[in-house]
Amino acid sequence: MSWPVALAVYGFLLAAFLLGGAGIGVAIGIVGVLGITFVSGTQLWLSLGDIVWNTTNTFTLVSIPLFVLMGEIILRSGISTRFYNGIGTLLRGLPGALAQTNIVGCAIFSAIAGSSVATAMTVGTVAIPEMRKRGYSDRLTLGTLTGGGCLGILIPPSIPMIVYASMTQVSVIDLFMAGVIPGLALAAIFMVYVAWRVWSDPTLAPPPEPRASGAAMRRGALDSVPVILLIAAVIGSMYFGIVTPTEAAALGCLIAFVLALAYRELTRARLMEAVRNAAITSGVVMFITLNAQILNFAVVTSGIGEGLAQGLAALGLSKLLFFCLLFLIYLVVGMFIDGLSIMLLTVPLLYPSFLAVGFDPIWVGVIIVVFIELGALTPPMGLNLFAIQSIANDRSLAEVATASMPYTLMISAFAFLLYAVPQLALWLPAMMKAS
Amino acid sequence: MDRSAPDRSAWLRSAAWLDRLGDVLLAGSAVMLLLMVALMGAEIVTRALLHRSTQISDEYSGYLFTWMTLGGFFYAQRSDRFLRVDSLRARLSPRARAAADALSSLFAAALVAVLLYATWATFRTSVAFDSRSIQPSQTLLWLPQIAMPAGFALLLLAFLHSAAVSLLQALGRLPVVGPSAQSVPSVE
Repeated sequence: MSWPVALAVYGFLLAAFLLGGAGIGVAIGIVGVLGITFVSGTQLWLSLGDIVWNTTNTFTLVSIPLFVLMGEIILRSGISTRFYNGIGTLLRGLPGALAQTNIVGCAIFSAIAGSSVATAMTVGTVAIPEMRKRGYSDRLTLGTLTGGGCLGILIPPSIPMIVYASMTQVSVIDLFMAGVIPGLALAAIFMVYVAWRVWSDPTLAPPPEPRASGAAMRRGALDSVPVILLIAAVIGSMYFGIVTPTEAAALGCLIAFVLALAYRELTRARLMEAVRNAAITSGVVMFITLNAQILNFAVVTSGIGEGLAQGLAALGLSKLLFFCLLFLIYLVVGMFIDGLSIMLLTVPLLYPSFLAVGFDPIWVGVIIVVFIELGALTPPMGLNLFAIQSIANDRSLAEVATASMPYTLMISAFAFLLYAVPQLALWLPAMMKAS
Repeated sequence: MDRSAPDRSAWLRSAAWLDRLGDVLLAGSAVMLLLMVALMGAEIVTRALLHRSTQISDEYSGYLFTWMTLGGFFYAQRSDRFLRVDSLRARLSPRARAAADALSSLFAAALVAVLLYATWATFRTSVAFDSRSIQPSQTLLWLPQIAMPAGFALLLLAFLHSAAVSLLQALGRLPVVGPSAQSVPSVE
């Protein structure tokens, strides 16, 4: 079977299984097994045992449940609420102060929690009632929560980046570092946008409050510093070579645990719930991951990856046109499938093409994360939209999506900026390596 | 009484039994996760303070991860946590949805059966050749690898049970409850 036919068959089967309601992992795995069987019968089935073993035993992927556990401890120990309130105090005086707090709080918090949905829900539960009470318009509030929640997967530690690293064998530390500037830049763009919106339409937010007193600022700093220190400890310990990325995740868990004990708000029941949730989340992620590795194997054995790369090269598409094509593909697929699954589904297929066109593997990891951020904001399957609508349940999904639209556009524009200036992602890892 | 109707209480008991098994496996996975944190914490501390390595941290946390992951699959299936695209399925009538669920559970069971076959072969090869890890611990590889066929065997059981329940619901032999057609309704 030639690779274009194989690609068409794979695509058709995958769409049929997904639309038929099969689990994403199951759909990917079945197509993978069928693909392997088409090429070499049942002969290569035995290799699947090695694929499962190598995937579930990968030291890089061990960090996933650990980072999830770190986030769960922070979420359930009250540190998250203190952090949000602390940032709120520090940002008082800015136009749309609480909306700005949502963006900073969601960005930093979803970086720790590893889940933009959990973050949007945690921050949203605190923020929505408070902001309504103070006279903020939902048109402003809802977008800052959905948009802000997306930023975390760019800011390290990022689970999609860990998964990407395990699939492409690029350095996790380099990827983490490459996400820092784009993540912070995007957060800054969102904040400037909020300030402009409030300035141009003062009905969206109450007038700025006077800045907090010195004592309140100190208190706010005290509440927000632990979370920032936690991120600094995780990233710093990796960067200075004290620990591996996986050990950094364990270190993060231990620090989160100590912080939670210090605040005396982590009960035994909450801790057990955190551990259970982390175990379930990693089971769900790993089921898709190992099936994606099976599909990856099928893509390699059927020659699709190589054929697609050569086919695209033969078309002579310019880099920009290829990038636009990818943007459209991820935008459409992201409307229907969650971010991590998109990455696991598309990287085996498209990674050789990315390299053939001449993109840097680290940059590719960052741009794919930016693309999947878009998926969380685009209906009908935008997970962040569902999360926020479940809290603001007097608002329709369409209203939440409309409030999120400016953030979708900003992320889209930022993707093109990253294309034009790849150094935004590549400068920090290169500089750190050089030093 | 319709003698051809399935014994609902039997299905209910089997579902409750599987759910309890899922809880036990999840508790086991949670313990593995805590052991991973403890093991890596010990490695970091001994390296920082004593300038020595445990030499097993990377290797054994990988094995614990295998056990944790395979143990977690069963619970994730029973609690309907595996991700899927729901937009079309949600528009179906309850019985049509149950039929779609039965079919997708059967496909899932077929996939898991292949993985069970493959991982059993990997495990059996390790036993036959007395394979050991290349790390200083020289651990017998079948010890961590046994989690794979065991985990997939349980997952196969879970998918087959779901397929049977959904099929009976699609045929109208068991009532359909809730948005997910996988749970067995109470007999009350």
